[in-house]
Amino acid sequence: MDFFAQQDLARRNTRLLTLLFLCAVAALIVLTNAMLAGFLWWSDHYNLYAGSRGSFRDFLRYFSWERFGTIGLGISATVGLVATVKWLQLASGGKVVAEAMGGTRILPQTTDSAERRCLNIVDEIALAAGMPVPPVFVLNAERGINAFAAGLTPADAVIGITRGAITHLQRNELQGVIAHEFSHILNGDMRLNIRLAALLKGITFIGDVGYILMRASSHHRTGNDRDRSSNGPAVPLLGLGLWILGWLGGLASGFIKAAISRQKEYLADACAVQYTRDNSGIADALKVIGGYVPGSLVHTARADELSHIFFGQIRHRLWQLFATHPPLAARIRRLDPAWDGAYITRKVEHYAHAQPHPAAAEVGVGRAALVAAALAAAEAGAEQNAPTDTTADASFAAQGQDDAFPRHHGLPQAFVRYSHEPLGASALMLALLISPHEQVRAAQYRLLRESGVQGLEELPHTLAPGVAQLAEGQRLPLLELCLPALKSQSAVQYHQFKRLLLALIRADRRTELLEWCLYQLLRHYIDPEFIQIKPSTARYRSLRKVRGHLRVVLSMLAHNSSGDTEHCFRTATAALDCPTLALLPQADCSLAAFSRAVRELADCYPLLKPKILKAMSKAANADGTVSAVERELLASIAAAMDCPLPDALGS
Amino acid sequence: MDVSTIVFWLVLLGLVMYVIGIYNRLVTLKNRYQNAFAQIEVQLKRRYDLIPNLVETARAYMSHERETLEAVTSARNDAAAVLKALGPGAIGGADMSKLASAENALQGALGKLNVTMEAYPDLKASENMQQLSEELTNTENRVAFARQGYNDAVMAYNTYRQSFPPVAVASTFGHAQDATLLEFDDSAQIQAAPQVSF
Repeated sequence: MDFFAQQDLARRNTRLLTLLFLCAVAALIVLTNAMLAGFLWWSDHYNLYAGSRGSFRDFLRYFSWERFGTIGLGISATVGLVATVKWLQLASGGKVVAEAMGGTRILPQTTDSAERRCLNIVDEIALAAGMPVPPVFVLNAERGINAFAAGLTPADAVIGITRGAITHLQRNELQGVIAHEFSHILNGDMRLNIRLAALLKGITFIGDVGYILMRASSHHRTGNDRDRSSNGPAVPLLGLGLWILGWLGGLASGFIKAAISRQKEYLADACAVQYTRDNSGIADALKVIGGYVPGSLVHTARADELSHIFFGQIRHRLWQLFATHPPLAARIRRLDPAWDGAYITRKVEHYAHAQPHPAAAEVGVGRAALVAAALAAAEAGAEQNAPTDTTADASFAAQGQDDAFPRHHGLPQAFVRYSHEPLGASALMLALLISPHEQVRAAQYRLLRESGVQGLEELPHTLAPGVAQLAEGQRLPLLELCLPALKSQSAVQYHQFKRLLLALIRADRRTELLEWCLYQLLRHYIDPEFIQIKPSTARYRSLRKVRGHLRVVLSMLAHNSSGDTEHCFRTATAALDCPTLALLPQADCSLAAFSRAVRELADCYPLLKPKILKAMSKAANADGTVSAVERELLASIAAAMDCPLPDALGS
Repeated sequence: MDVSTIVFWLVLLGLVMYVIGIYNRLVTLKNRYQNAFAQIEVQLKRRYDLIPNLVETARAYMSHERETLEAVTSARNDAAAVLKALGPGAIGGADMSKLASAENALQGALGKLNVTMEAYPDLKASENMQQLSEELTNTENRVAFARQGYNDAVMAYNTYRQSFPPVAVASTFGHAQDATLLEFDDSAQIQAAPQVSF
């Protein structure tokens, strides 16, 4: 098959249909316009005594361009407003949609071989399509073979796939299905579809208004007789007219929208062949769907309004005109003209709906570790690796298996593994907070046990002794290592984690500097993934207004610095051009005051912040080295101020 | 200012915007194919980095197939050396053919490994070997798709550059030449059916 030609054809058809859709909307607006104008004219010129209403010519005279424009503008604005509201409702990011449909994210270190394969395929196709790799969600409760792509731009797109698809399809078939979804993302089909759906809503709104008018005036009739005498049966008639118009318009636009969706499916099929250069893969996948008893049906409630983004039809359709997908046979024939009409039957595999979650300790230690280790070891060993030497590849293996990686700041291998999966990463972060004092520690463990978060009750307990042995300089790298996994939690998990974190911090009724730093860093890096962050409002334009706060923060830094306190403080004030600032004694530097001061500094004007941070990094470097504590403190202050760390401290 | 002057300026403005659009599109497409080329290098490097460890896993299971495994390792080392010697941005140079032949040797060795694995049903069924084979397939596909993605990007660039109106202004903007598609000298050899002996 010539997929480029098919792509061109589908694109042309889509353009034509979109034009037709817009024409339908315009025609509807014009018709509504004419109807409203007629109604106004009629109610203005209704001659109560003679009962006559003038001729058609009078109407034309009455019907000026100006009036036409005003009414048209009004209707268009109404339709536009309703469409915008609907658009805002529908336009949610890919992750939100996938989670609403009951999808769980497949993590890069999954040990399930089917999930692993699926992730590998997504990586491959992303290469072929020249797109960033999207996150993948699996719908565990669905047995049908189907997949979807959600999100408005390639940057926030996700791919969802049913459990049935990843277990029943062979590798090349799955490749075809995923390539099809990539095409939906790249061609902006989700965006187009949401726009069309919003416009459609705007059109049907005309019908809704008509319906309300009809109902309202029929109520009126019983209550207030005088109104009726002046308006006659006009209002319900107008309502009826609008209702019919809206209904017809909605019907016609619905047809066109479904036709566009079908063209987009053909386009995506053709693009899938372009990415995989293999038409048998996707054709076979469609044949498997045809011969598979659950078909491509999806049962999640939310799926209905998103039926167009799926790979196959998600509900049985009696009437082909409204189907969002072309019939299976038609799609297969386009891909494989020599098809003999036989579907592929595949044994339905049964599996438990809720798969037991593997024990936390096992996750992430399996195959992913193998590949990660191979890559990391290769990177580390690349320099000293003499090409044709057989000892070189022996040393690869030795390094990959159990040595600590130099690039992970000497962190134990076990921690590196835990940091790759959300549960382990959360446990590591919590373990960092476990206090060295016996009593507090007991209270913290009790909190963990009572939290009821599965997997977090015991794991921090096991990790804590190891974490306590980490050198000071290793805490920040460990935290950075954990960030990607922490970001991949679901929103609920993250809130639970954050609550637990705060509870542990407060267990001893006071907050230590390290705890403050840790919390600020986590909040800064992970909150944006889950919470809509309000940007801070800049209030302070000059350093003079924040002198007091600056004094507290700089004093805190000086007292915690590795070198001479006074010298450190002076370096900072010199860099900031305010030599009159005096060092606060250590007793006056409470953490509460410090925390408040940092928050105030965060409200400085954007150009002021880097200046402050640069001065601080100079101060930290005053004695020639930046100690681990200084680095942590600076990183947290920068995070609290929503500012990147100055380059001098980057790594 | 009368109406015709306004119209004239508007048309001129529109034209300028259009030409700017063409320029930007050309730059985007060019960057896209250059990025696609870089992707091939990345994927090749990934493959060279992975192979030693995969071979090591296989060795534990098939110690008696030492020759096959060593062939893979040495082919990998040759190819890695050629890639390292290849400077950045050497798109379509003479060195590319060297890389192509080294790559072919590696492909052959890997293919042989796969065939050897087929000969041991027990081995094939083992969990580790399945993972290994999935990893190999994935790696090979990545390389193939990266190449193909490069060729697609080049095609998009060339088509846009040669079409009208862009063709009228492309050379003035420094896009005088078509980008070259990725081809291998020994395409005759590639097209021949692979020889499988038992």
